Amino acid sequence: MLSIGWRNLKRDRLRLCVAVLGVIFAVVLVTVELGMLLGLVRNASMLIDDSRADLWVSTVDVKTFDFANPVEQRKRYLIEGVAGVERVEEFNASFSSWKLPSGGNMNVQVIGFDVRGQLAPPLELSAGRIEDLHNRDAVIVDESELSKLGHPKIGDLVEIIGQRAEVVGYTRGMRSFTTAPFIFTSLRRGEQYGYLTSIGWQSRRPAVYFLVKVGAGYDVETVRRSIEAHVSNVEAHTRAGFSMRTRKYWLLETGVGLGFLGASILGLLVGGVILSQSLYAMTLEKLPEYGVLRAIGASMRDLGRVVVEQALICGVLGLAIGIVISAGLQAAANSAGTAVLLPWQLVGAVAFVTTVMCMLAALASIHRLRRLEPAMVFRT
Amino acid sequence: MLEKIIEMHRLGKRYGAEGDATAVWAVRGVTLSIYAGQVTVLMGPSGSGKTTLLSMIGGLLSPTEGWLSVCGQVLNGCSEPQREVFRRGSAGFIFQSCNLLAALTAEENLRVALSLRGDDEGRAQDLLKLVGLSEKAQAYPAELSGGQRQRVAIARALAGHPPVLLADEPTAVLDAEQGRQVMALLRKRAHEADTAVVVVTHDPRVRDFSDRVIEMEDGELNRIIRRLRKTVFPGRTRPQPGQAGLKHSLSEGEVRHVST
Repeated sequence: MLSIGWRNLKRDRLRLCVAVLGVIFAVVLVTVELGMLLGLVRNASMLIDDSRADLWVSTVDVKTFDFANPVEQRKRYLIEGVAGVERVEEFNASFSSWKLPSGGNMNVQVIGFDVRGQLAPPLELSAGRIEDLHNRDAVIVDESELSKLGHPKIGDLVEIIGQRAEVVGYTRGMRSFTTAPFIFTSLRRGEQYGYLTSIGWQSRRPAVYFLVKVGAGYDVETVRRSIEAHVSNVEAHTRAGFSMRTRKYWLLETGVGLGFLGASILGLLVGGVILSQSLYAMTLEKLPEYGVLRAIGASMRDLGRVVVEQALICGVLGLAIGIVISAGLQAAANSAGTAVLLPWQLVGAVAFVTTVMCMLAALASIHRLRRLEPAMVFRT
Repeated sequence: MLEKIIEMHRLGKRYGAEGDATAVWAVRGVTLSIYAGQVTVLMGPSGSGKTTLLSMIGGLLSPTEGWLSVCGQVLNGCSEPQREVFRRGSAGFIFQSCNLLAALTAEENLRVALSLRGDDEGRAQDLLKLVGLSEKAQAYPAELSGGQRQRVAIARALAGHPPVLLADEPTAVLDAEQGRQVMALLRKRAHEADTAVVVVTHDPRVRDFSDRVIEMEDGELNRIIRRLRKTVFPGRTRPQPGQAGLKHSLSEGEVRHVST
């Protein structure tokens, strides 16, 4: 049968535009909200995911990467003694304070790692060299956070909790989940610059995390359990497990995830209602025509197909335009330093959700058509 | 001998539930036969039950009581899907306001009907030719005159070769000339294709194109009038003039009065 749905839409362009706008609204809101959420989630666990460690060892009950406590240095030797452990490196993450040129302070997250090591996440540098971190007081900051840090240039001297530091390079796309910018530095400088590691621990040189490489032929999970069994008061996490724990913390325990999800659902509801109303109005206007189709032998399924076809056409148009707009917004957001991710899985999920939304939006019209008496054709 | 294609016995339709004080019998106690190859006109004042009777014949409404058979299919107690199948195969409908699908061209309107009725969509052009509108195939309903729209509607009703054509006030919105053209088309179809054409109308001019006129009042048959055909069709038995109409639920065998 001819595509009556498409022809009806083509003829009623105003309603088509309104319906498609409704879908675009929903698609853009859902895509950008979820894209931002994915960006935030990625940032939250980026240093874990990008690391080359098989295991992360921390104090017990660490809920997220950002809020860890120091582990005594001597535990490193105990970990190294566990069967299957090939290599252990320290990794520090601690909040601190960056003195701004204006005289104010900016909270920062100091990341200290073994510059010669193999297990820390690699830095993607847009300026400077990683070797420069060997220099005294050298730090690297992310280019997207420069405005927060008072626009430091390479070679500028700055102050972190009263101690001298020199900016030697910029990273690209390495933003923290918290609003505190990452400050990358060497392990020892990190101990001095971080609140956690600098206060009262000098004599014992604490570490916040130990990164562990498991030897070839050893099962990561077995080694993880062995570390917890042989070393007291530490918790060993697989990289994926620690990444998930960190993401879960930010998404679920802080309510951030629910906020984004709520906004997405709201977008779907508003878009769905706009689409549903447009389809319903179109259906009411065309009731005599639907009545004729019923009279000449069309089944309810045939009529339902017309409405669903209209809904899906609006959905496909709205989805295509909405994704293009979302991609534009993503580019704009990323260039402004806000991470918005649009992986194909997200686009696929949005397409699926949009399809479901369209089908649901068609229900009101289909319900109305179910009550249509074919005999009404003789009264109109 | 004329073939009885539509038969009904003490047929009734009530709107509203049984025992409900507001329930109304739109049609009651109608016993009637309608023949293939004839134009049968249902006349009567508004509210006399003509359209309800037409709707029951077309399988659009279920009878409340009595018995109704169209093309050999008993429609009493049919489910909606069964009536759907009946409508698809046995009845063509023509409406007062044409009700063509506004977003489709004349040809596309016919293709939809042909497709629904399992007929070859390529016949759309033939149907348009039949109603003399070949050149308007690509015109949208809004671009056609009232008479042209009604002719497209007739072509649509002919999709699938239904043995019964049901028309509700087909000339109501047409001027005299267009009305004549439409009725001539329906009569030609009835006589040449052996189709039973049932027309509900208030328009007295339609009588001139009818073989039989049935008058209704208050949901009941009031009078049946047989008209002489001006043309004799070979191989067919012409209905005999000089029979009658009768108050209240007349059957063919009860005719008392004749009018031509």
